[in-house]
Amino acid sequence: MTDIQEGDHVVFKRDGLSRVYQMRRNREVYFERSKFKVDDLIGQPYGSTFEIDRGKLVKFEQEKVVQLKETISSLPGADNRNLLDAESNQKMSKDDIMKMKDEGITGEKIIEELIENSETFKGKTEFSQAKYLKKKKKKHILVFTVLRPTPRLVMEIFSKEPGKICNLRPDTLSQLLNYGNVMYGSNVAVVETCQGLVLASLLQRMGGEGKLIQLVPNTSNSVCRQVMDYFNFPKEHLDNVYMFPLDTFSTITDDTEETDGNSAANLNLETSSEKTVTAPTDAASTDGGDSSIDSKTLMTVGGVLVESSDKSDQSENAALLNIPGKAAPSTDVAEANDVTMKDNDALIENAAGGEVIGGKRQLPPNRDLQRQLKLQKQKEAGQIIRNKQLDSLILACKYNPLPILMTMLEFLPPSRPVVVYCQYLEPLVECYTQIKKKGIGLQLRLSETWFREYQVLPQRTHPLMNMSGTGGYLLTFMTVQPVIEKVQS
Amino acid sequence: MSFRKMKDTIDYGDTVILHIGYDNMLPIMIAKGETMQTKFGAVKHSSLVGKQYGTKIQCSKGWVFVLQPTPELWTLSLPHRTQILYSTDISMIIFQLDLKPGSIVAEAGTGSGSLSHAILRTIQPSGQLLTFEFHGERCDKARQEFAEHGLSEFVTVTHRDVCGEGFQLDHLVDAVFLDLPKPWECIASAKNAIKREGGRICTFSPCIEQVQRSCEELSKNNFTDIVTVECLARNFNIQYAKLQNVLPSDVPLAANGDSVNCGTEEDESKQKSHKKVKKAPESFLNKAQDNQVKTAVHNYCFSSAIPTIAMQGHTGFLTFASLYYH
Repeated sequence: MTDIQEGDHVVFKRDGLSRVYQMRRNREVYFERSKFKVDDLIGQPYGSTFEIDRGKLVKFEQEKVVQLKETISSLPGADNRNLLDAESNQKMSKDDIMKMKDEGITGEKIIEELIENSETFKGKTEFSQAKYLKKKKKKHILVFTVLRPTPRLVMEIFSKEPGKICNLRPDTLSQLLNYGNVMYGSNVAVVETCQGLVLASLLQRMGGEGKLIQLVPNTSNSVCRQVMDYFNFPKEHLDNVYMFPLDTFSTITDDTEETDGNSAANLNLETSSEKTVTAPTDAASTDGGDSSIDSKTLMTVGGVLVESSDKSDQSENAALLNIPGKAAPSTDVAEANDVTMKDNDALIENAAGGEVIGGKRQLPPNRDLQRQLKLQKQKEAGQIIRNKQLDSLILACKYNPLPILMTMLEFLPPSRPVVVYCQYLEPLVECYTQIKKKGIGLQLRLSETWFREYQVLPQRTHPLMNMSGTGGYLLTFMTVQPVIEKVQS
Repeated sequence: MSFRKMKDTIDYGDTVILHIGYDNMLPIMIAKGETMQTKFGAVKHSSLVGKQYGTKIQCSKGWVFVLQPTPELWTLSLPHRTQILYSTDISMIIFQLDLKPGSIVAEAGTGSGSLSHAILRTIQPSGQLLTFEFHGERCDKARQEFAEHGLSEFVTVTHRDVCGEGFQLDHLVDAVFLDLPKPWECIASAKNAIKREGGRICTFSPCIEQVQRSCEELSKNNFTDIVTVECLARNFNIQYAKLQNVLPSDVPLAANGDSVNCGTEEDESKQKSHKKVKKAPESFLNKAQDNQVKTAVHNYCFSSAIPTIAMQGHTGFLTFASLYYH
C-alpha cells in the first residue's frame, strides 16, 4: 500500500528534523511551532510534500521555490569589506513580521519583504545570499514530506537526543545489523534499551520469519518498546517477538520438569494483583540511575505523546547480578509485574488490531488468556535458547554487558556472530579480555566508527562544521568451540 | 547453500571459511576428493563433512577453525578481482538504502561481489538483486560464485556498461547503488529504474570531484535529501601497558593527597586492575620517602584500548539521496 491509512505512524521530514505522528482524524498535531490537523494526509501517497500555509495543509508545488530563487540577483564580485554589523541593516522589526503573519501573509512574501528591507542583502556574495535565503526559508516556510517510517528515518528523530538510544548512530546500528548476520528467518536474541529501535530494526530485517527473543532483566521489569509501534508491523511479524526474563535463566539450565512448576508459581503471583496502571509505554524504567529524568523528557519523543506514569523500578536492575540465581520475585514487585504484563498485553492486542488511542491501550477482554499466552511464549523462548537454536546474539543496552554475554554464550552454538554495542569503551575491554582468555571467539574486534557528513555545493564543499563525536563502541566476534576435533589429513 | 541459512554441520557443496589466523582466512567449497593446503598442513575436504561449524580442526602442524560464511567473513576472504567495499561502508549502504527482505535493488558494477553478498543476505528470499558489470569475465565469475553459494535465484548478473547503455529498467527497483568511475552519467537512468512510489540511491566515489558532479546531477533529477558521508572503522588493540614512575618517592600528585597506585608490576598484575587511583597509606609514603633510590622499579600498570597505529584513512564518499513519489 503506497497511501497513508488511518492509524499509520508517519514520519514528517524536513531539513534536519523528523518526527513521527499517528494519523488520526480530527487530531491536531504540533510540528515545528505549527498546529494543524492531519485529516487531509490520509489517503495521500507516501512521499508527498506538504506546506503549512497559514495553518492549513497544502500540497507543495516545487515551482514556487525556484521562482523565489530567480527574484534575487547579486552584484558581481561583491564581498564583505563594507559589511557592518548594525541592527539597522534590517528595517523590518520582529513585530512587523509577526503582524504580517497574523494578517495571513505567506512565508514567501515575508521573505521577499525581508530581502527588500535588508540594507546589506544586495551587497552580499551569491553564496552568502543563498545561505541567508536558506536560513529564512527554514524559519518562515514550513515544508515537509510524509514518509513511511524506516529505521533510518526513525534514527533521525533521535539525532538531537541520542542519549535515549544509548548514543547509537546510523553507522553503529547498521553494523549491529550486518555483523549480527540478521536475515530472513534468523533466530536472534537481543538485549536492548534503545526504546525498541534495535528490536524494530531486527524484526524488519527478519522479514516475518524466525524468532526474535528480547532478553529483559527480570519478570518485573517493564521494557520500553515505543519505537516498535512506529513501524506498523503486521501481526504475523509481531508474533515472532518473544520476551525472556534473564532471571528465569535457572529454568533453562536445570533441564527438568521444575520448569513448569516455576512458571506456575510466577503465574500465581502475577494473577494476584489486578491493579490497573497507566501504561508506562515510554517510561524508560529499565535504565540505571538517571531513569527518572529520562522517562520524563521522553514524553515528547517523536511527537506521539503518550501518557506516562513515571515508574522507575531501578532496584530491579540489581536482579541482573543474580544470573543465573534463584528467580523468585518477591510480592512487593507484583505490581510492577502487572505493568510488564500490561505492556506486553498491549503489544499482543495492538497486533490483533485492538484500539490504541493516544497511547492509552484498552484492556483486552480476557487478561487471563493473555497471561497464559505470554507465559507460553516465554517458555517457547526458553526452549529455543536451551536447544541452542539461536543464530545471533546482539547486545545494545545500559546494562553491564559482561555477565549477560557470558551467560548467553553458553547457549549459543559455535560459528555464530555476536555483537555487543556499548556507549562506553571500558565494559567492552572487559568483554574482549574475557573472550580472548577463554578462547571462545574468533575475529574478535573492538571498534568505533569515525563518521562525518559533508556539505557538497559548487565551490563550497567541506565537512559540516558540527559532527558527532561518538557513536559508541562495538565488539564483534564469531563463537567457536575451543575443543580440538581430530581429523585425518 | 551455507549462505542462505545458519546450519550446524558441514555438507558437500558448502562453502566453508578456514580460519587460519586473524584476517587470514581461506574460503573453500567442500568437494569430494579435494584437499586444501594450509600453512598448518593439508585439510582433506571429506574429513570436514559432518563436522560442526565453529570447531577446531587439528592439522599436522597446527590447527584451524572451520566457520560458516557470513557476508562479513566473505568480504575478508573473497578472491579479489577488483577493489572491494568493506563491511563498515557496506553496513551503512544497506541501512541507508532502507533494504529489507523483499527489496529490489539495482547495483553497478558487480566487481568482486563483496557488497552483493551483503545485499543478498538482506533482501532474500523475496527480493531481487539486479547487478550490472561491464567486464565479461568478472560477470561469469560472479555468476558462478552466486550459484555456488545457493544465491542464484535472487540475483541476475547482466553484462553491460550502464554508463551509456543505462539500466533499461522501467520503474522496477526500490534502491540503486552506483560504484562507477562516472556515476553522474547514469543517474537519469537510475531515476527511471526507481519505482514510481519512490526509492533510494547511493553512489560510492573515492574522489570529491566525483561527488560534486554526482550531487549536481542528483539535484537536477529531483532527488532530494542528498547527504554525503564518510565512515571509517577505527579498531582498538587491547594492551597491558606500564608507565614508569620517576618522581622520587612517588609522592602524591594531587593536592588532596591522592597518588597514582605505584605498586610493583607483580602486585598490579595480581590485582588485575585498570587505572586505579587510590589513597596511598601513610606508612607506604614514609617508606617510599626512605627508599628514594628504588623509585625506578615502580610502574603504573593498566590495560588500555588503543587504536591501531596505522589505519585506513579513506575508502570513499557515500552519497545518499531519496527520490519521492514521481
